[in-house]
Amino acid sequence: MDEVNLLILKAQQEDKDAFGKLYGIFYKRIYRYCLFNCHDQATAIDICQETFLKAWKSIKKFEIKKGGSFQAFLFTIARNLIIDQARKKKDLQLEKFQNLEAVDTTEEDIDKKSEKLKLKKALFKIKEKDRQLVILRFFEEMSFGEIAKITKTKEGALRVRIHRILLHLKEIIENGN
Amino acid sequence: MEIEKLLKEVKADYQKTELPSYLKNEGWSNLTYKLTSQKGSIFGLFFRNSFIFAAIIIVALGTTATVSQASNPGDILYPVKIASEEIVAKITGNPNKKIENRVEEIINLTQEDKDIEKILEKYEEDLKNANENAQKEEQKENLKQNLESLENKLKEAQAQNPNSNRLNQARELTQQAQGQVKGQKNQKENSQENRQDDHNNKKDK
Repeated sequence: MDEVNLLILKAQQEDKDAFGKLYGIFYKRIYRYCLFNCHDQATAIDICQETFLKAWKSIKKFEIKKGGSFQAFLFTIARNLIIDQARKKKDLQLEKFQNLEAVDTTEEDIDKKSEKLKLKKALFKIKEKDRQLVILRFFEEMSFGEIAKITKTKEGALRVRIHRILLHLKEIIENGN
Repeated sequence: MEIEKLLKEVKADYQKTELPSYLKNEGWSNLTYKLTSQKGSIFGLFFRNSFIFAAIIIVALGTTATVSQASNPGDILYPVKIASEEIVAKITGNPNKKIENRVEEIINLTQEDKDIEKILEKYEEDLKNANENAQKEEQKENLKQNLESLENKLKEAQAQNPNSNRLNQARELTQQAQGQVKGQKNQKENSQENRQDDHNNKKDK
């Protein structure tokens, strides 16, 4: 049994120190996932903390024996919280994102930056749930199997969905719509 | 640039995300305060369950009280009906519902040839209470109309069951009550007239 699973077992026995170690392993990834989606540091911190609080409350439901992935478990909670947050502040996201990008200029190649910016903007023009799939697959490098668990979809359907999302993103970048 | 390549570029930025110092230094220590027992506190459990329990009780009581309205003396739910009548009469200040219920019981039970002596006694008592409660003119008028309607109901029941002495007794009680309401009214009207006469006499003098 690997270290993470041992910590999970201890946390399931209400061992807070073990849960603290799990927090230490995963909080960076959960935070950056939240920040990319919210573009607001305070909101991202809140969602990150709330994710671990909910994980603690429901950790006994997590089943290692059935091949459960703890990162998938955490990302499921974070994703749901982000979706709830997005529903509350539907129109603010793209605006916030654009403001953030305008300030954040570096010395990178302008063309390259422009292309990257187009992609980032395109990511905020697609559906919220589709954006989550792109982040989980391409930025968090999760397997289709893990993402299927998080999103509660079938792996085959997920592959097709992600392929379509990429085509859609390409179209937005090229046409600007 | 191909979309996959672009995604890799953005991924590099994504992974460079810097952690805020709050999360690095105080994230866990602040979270650990909020980690309560996974079983949930007994306090929370009690309240969560007590709300459910209270809701069940309210629904059960409401349903029992509603069903009990169709009960007659001797039925299990009859005491519930009497208790709910009392509550309604106290809340609304209107005891008319009680006498309406008694008349319905009298009619129903005489059709089944059952003894209604005790209901007649209760009816007499409820009529007396209704009379005493009707202090204002508006209440008296309501009671008067109600008694008229009950008298008609009893009359109709008697037409279908002409040999029932009990129905006759119930009608007599109703008529007596009608007389009392009218008497009170007349008495009041007379005393007002007398006061007016006294007033006029004083003026004349």
